[in-house]
Amino acid sequence: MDPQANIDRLRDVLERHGADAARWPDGERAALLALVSASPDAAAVLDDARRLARVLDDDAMAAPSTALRRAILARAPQPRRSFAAALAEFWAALGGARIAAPAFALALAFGAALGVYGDPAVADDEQPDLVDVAQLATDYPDF
Amino acid sequence: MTTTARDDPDAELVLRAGAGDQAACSQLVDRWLAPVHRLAQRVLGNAADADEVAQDTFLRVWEHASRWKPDAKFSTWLFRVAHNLCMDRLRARRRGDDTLLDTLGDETTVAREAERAATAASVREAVAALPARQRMALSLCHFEELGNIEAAGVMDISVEALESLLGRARRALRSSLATLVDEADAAR
Repeated sequence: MDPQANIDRLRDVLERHGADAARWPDGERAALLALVSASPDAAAVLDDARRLARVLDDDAMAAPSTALRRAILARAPQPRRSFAAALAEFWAALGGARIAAPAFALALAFGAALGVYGDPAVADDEQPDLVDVAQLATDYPDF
Repeated sequence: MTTTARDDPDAELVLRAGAGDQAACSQLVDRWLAPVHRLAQRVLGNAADADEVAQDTFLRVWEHASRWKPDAKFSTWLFRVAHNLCMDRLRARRRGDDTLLDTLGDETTVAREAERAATAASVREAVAALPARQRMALSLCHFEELGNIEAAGVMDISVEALESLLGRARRALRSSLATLVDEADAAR
C-alpha cells in the first residue's frame, strides 16, 4: 500500500475535494480507495464525509421562475437586419401597398397637375421686380 | 484552467447568441440560468437578490456575446461575473451596516425557510453562517460541481487558497450539522 495513503491524507483529500472519489487527484485515488477497503477506520472517515455531502444535498434551492427566464430572454441580442429588410419594415409601418402606395401616387399626381395647370403668371410677375433691382446697380451702365 | 476554451461546448452558442440567434440564447439560458441562480441564492441567502444577480449576469453575457473571444471557458467567465456581482452586493450590504450579511436574509426568506423541511432549513442556515468566501467556494465546488482549478479561476485565487476555504467550510459544516450528519448515518 502507498505509504502516502494514510488516514490523515484521506481526511485532507476529503476536505479539499469532497467525498466523491471521482474528484480526488488522479494519482492518489486508487491508493486511497485501497486504504478505505483495507482499513475500517478509513472507511468510517469516508462514510462520514459522504453523510455530510448527502445532508448538504438535501438543501434544494428554489428554481428560477419562468418570469425571470422570460425577462432575461427579452433582453437577448436581436437578429441583425439587412437594409432591404429594414426598408420593407419601414414600408410596412407606413401601411404597405394598401395605404402608402395610393398616398404616394396621389401626391405624385397632385404635383404633376400643379405643374401643368398652375398659373405661370405668378412667377412671371416677379421678373420685373428682379429687373428693377438689377437696374439700381451702378456696375451695369447699360441699364 | 485545465479545460481549454477550445473544448468549450458553449463557445459556439455564445457567438451565435451574439449574432441574435434566439435559439442559441434560449439554450444558453436553459443551460446556465439555474446554476447561476443557485449560486447567487446560496451566497446571498435569498431568491430575490438571486433573481437580480442572475438577470445582471445574463445582461453581461448579451453585451459581450457578439465580441466573445474564447480565451477562457464560458462557464468560468459566467460564474466569475456572477461571483463578482454577488460580492458587490455583499459589500453594499456591509456598507449599509446590514447585520444580516452572513445570515439567511430578510424576514420573507426566513418565513419561507420555516415552511420547508427542517433538514433543508438547518443546512441552509449552516451554509449561510459560513463566511462569504467559504460559502462561495463550497457552492462552486460541491453544489455546482466545478473542478477546484476552475473554481479558483472564478474566484481569482490560487488553488491552494480555494482548497483551504473548502477545508474550513467542510470542517465548520461537519461541526454545525453534527446532529444531522449522525442522524443521516442512522437513517441510511
